[in-house]
Amino acid sequence: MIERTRNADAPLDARVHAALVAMRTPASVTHVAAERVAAHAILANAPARRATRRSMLAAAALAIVALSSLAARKLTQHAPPLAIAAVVLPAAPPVTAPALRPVRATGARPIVFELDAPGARAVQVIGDFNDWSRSTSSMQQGSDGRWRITTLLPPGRYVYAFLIDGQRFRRDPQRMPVEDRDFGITGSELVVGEAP
Amino acid sequence: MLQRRALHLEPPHAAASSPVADVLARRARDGDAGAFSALVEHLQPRAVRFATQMTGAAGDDVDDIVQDAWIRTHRALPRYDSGRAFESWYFTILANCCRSLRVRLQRLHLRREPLDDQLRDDTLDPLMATGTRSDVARVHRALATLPAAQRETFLLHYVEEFGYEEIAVITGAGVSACKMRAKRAMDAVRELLREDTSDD
Repeated sequence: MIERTRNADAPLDARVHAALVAMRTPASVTHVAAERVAAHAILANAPARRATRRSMLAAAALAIVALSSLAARKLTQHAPPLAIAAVVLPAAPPVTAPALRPVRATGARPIVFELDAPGARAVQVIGDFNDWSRSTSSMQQGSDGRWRITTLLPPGRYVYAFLIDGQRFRRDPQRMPVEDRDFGITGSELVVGEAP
Repeated sequence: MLQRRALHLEPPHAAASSPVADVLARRARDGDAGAFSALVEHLQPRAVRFATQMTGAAGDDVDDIVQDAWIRTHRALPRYDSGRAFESWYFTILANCCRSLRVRLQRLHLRREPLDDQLRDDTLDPLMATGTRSDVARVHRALATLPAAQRETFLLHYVEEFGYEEIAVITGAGVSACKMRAKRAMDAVRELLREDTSDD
């Protein structure tokens, strides 16, 4: 009985096998096209890093506006000690999104990262949006002692964490711990944009 | 029995990674731009094939996905652990880019047409037998109905020829889950081919 079933399936298996072999045919890519892709990848990274640094300058200006707004809403006054939060500002000002990624991003939004870290000498926000770089997203300490930085992010899902004094890695306890698949680092999840 | 063995649907190679890619990746990581170009040329045909079949995108959309994956790969290259097969490391990033595209499109409420409508005839070899051509379209149609995780595992195993252990690393799922996903996807493919044949 089993043998008969196997025999009955043999033509079907043959067709699946033939289809799989056909699907394994590699796409046609010319040497020139591959060279262009490689060159673009190499070139895109250097400007991207410069753009990130430029965005930090823009972020500093935005942070002043954001802090005024936050102070008006008394958000900082009610923040619990040691609370860590990434605040998404409701409205996106008409600024150009930094070239963080060559994706078809629409509607980059200013994101304020906040951290209360008493005694810290330096704090950075690190995440997949800046390739977990320790040098591109230094936070500034406000007069209230909290550390903040504002950055523009296109809609999407991000993984981030804070680095205190270049040594202490801290996830946001108020957010879901997730792993950045590209880098294998576990951080906190931030979703920018409308929920799916 | 011999016939049965010849028709076995498991991919011929348990692992798809090649030492060529590992050597090129190590050189590229050490700053050899020529090695990075060679690496792209070595893997690009497979990358385009996977992105096309995984997302149903074509033309510029596929180019964008693969380009994004290479940019991210180049950025992360200094952290590449040469103890790991480069191809599975790269496919981790590529698969993530494919997933991100779908999530982004869903978030923007831009639902894509079914995969089989996206896979244009000109992506297939014109010399392919007509029957096989139809069956490839049927396989794509079956895959389009599956959850993304099953489709991804099916393509990684049966088309990209990665072993289950490597797929587990690429997808972050367990080995058993990967085997189950591949089996369910294969069952769906076989079922659709069987039904389509009976409809003819």
